[in-house]
Amino acid sequence: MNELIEMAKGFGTKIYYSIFRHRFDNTGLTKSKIMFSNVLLHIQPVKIHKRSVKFKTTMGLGLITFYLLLILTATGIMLMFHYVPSTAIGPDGLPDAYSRMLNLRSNVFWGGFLRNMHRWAAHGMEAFVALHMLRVYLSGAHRGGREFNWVIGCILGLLTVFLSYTGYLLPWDQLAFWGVKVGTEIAKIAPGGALIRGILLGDADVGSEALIRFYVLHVAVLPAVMGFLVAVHFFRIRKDGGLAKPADTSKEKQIPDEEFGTVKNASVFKSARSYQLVEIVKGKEPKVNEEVDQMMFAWPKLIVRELIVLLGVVAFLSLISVLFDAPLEGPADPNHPTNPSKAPWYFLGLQELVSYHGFIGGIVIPGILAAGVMVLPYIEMFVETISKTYRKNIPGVWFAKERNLENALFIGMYLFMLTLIIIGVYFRGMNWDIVYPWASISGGGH
Amino acid sequence: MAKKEKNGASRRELMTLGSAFGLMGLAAAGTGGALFKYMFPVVSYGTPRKFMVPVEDLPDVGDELIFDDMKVVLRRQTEKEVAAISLVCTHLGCTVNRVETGFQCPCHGSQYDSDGIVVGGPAPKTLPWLEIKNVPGGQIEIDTGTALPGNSFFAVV
Repeated sequence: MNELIEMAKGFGTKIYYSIFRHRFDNTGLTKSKIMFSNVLLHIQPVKIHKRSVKFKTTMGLGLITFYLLLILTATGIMLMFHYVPSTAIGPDGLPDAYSRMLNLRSNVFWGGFLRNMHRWAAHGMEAFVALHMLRVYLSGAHRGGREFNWVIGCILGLLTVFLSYTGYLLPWDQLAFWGVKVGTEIAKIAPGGALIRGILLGDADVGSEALIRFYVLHVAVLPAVMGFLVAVHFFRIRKDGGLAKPADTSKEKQIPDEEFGTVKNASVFKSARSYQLVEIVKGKEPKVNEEVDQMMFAWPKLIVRELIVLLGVVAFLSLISVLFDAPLEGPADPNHPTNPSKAPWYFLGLQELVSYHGFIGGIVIPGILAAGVMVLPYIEMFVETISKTYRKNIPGVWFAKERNLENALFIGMYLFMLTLIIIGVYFRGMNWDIVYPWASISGGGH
Repeated sequence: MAKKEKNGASRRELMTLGSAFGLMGLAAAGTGGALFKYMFPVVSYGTPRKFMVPVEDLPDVGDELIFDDMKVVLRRQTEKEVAAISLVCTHLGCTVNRVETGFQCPCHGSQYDSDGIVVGGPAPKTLPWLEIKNVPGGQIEIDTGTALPGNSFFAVV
């Protein structure tokens, strides 16, 4: 009998090791193995700098953005099972795409919830992309070799906006139709824009062809590009040595070692970062520019913190999706815009600008802002090169004194956009007239 | 001698690389061009540009008639004179509403007087007046693709 139990145990152990290939104890070796033998975890390093897990360093903004992207992918795939990108009028007298929305909302179990979640997660992602960018800039994390990753981040931000834009045509309601109508009319003003508009719409005007094209862009083309660029974005953070940090962190207050528990490790490689190749450098010191005593194992502290953030995001989003329904206006009427006809909030700053002048507000200012922000680290670099200022110890420092001017300008730009959005959301009424926010407004703005 | 060989080798390498990347570039350019044409719209499924109205359906003298689907307002000045004004905002293509003072756009607040002349808001141009033709069978044909200056009235027979 005992023999049998022993055999079963042995067999079980074999199965366990064939799947996990590591033990679950408290040794440094195991903690390393957990990280690099798991396909999901090995995106992250075995050892990270202690300041990486501090709230102040990133506030988790990039992580939350990524989680929202995952949630959007999951809910989006679920919505695809019930959606048809067609404007054909069905037996209920409504366009197919629109009646599918009504179907989701009233007939399909969990349909309304999933649609709410998809819509609110999209709004959240817009906000968190903006916050993440603000965090990166104000903490100087776009410098020190990370300039190109900033550019990739900006492209990801633009992709997020374009994904929202293609996504909100799909319900084929009034908001969808007139949002895309106005958006593509703006494109028409730009030089060469008429051509791009033709490619996007597949027709002379917004119609059934445009719906199919936006659908394909929204569910296949843009997510694929985005997934690839997210991978590049993360990869470059790893290759740049983790999160941006100042050259000298020995003076910074860190989480005390006791909090991480004791690590049993008799190995001589106690303090080595196991993933990094050792470079051949001149000099006698084995320690080059790595503060080995400031490093900690990513498992379990970092992973647990990340999971807590994920739980928080899912819980908060579920709550919002239960409490608030995603907006759906009347079916698209190509002849009559609603009055007022407002885009979602993240476009209302642009709509406000456009209401002053089509070309300047719709093309020139947004174009200069987007292009300027994208090459911002290179502008800084250029100015530093010609003025021969060499600033050190700036990456990873919040509100560095040396960067007061840049930070003020960047915050100023954010405030400018925020003001426009607030005016657009709360102070525009019928016929785009200035109204007080307490006057009731119907039509768009969400 | 050795130097010459080395040069020859690098030239050969350059030729190989050049032709490989050149061919790849050509293939990519061709594919790109073809895909561009593939994506370009061939047929328009939208509303037709021209539409016809029977003469007996014209509005009374001094009155107006709005054609929702075509986004056109038809105005009859005298017994013989009619004009058509486009209701598509010259700013960003929303449909303007007819109000007492003229036309107003709900999207970005452009304002026009009743002749379509801009009096406020971001609209860059006057609302286009459209060409009207007499066609056989007692009908008139309005071409929404045209843009004439203001006060372009046409005689109906």
